[in-house]
Amino acid sequence: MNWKNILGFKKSNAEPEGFQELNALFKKYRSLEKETGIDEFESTLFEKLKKVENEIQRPRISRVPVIVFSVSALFLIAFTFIFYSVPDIADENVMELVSSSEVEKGEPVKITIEFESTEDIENVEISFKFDDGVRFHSDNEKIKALNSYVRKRSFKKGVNPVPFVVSLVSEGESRIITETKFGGYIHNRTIVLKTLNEKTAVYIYKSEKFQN
Amino acid sequence: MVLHDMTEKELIELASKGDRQAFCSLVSIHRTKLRSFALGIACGNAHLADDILQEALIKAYLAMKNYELRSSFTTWLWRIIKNEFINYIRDPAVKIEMSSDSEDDTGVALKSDDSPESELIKEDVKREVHELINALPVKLRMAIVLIDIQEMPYEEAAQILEISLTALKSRVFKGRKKMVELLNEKKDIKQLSFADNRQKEVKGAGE
Repeated sequence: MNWKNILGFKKSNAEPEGFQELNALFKKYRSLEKETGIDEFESTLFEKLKKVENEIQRPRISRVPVIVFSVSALFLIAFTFIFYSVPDIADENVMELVSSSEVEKGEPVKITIEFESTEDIENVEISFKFDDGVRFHSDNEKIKALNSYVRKRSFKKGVNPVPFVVSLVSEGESRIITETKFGGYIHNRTIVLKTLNEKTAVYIYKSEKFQN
Repeated sequence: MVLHDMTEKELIELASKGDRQAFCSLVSIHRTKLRSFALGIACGNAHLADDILQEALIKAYLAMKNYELRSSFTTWLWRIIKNEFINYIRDPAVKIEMSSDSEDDTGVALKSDDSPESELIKEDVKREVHELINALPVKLRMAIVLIDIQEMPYEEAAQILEISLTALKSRVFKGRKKMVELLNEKKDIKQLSFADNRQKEVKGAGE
């Protein structure tokens, strides 16, 4: 007796004992499934495709980043990057510099990334990965020690800000990579922090990748 | 040349250049099977099946420019749809609600010449199959829907699921085994309740 017989396989297919009754049920089910008729499926799909195309073909000017600086009362030199994350199919997988700025060296840096969503979405995961030279700015030792973090939140239709504050723990170049999945795309943001003589230069790159 | 006179290959070429209508024509060629698959995975919940299917088709449309004619379009399309369902089902917040409404199940009302009795029988068959499928883990569910509901060849189903033929056969076997067990359990419960009712009848007659 070979192993297939031990497991209950027949030679040609995978039929367990007592399969006949189940198979008869499947046969009945399959005959009912053929009754499906014409409905609005294709027309709805056509309209959805049209909508998606229109969103993609928005003028590039709408994606140009607008940089907003603000100074926090709590000694934070803050900057906020506001940019639209309309998926750009043509630039798939290509990192694009969306903003750059300089802040005083040694100060915590507040970064706010804002995403534009075309609909309300629940449970959007935003993952953060930190290089060794950069960490969350916090009084909490546990938070300060994190080198990766996943934040779950909902997005509303429109602009959704995602703020966070970081500190450089060593000189040189450090990166923060964020990944957010929504609207059928993986939205990557790479934030590069580079210490210069008296300043820290901050660059934000983005890429959109089709989520498959 | 009008779209409905075109071959699938011609439609694919047009769709990959961004022709929306050509893409919809392509979808209509495969629609019955795609919807049947979606319905099976979504346990008969037609609204959910259509929503997820349409999301997957939008992704497929947007990815058409990357599609290479060398590979099978059907397999490529099915993989995208399979992945969309897996992503949906694996979300811990998601619990698929089964649908029991006949109009929802098929997208159309049952034929007018169906007697109420035959309508009920059809509903029972659908509900029973959807209940059995719903009890399966997602991997087994996919395999069962492709092989037993869609009657797809094993080789094609294995390509769509991106697993080996042996792994697929194993999943089908496990899925069927689990479903047979559930069927037997249901039968036992029915027999028990029938015996229970008979006992009550006998007692009632003796009083």
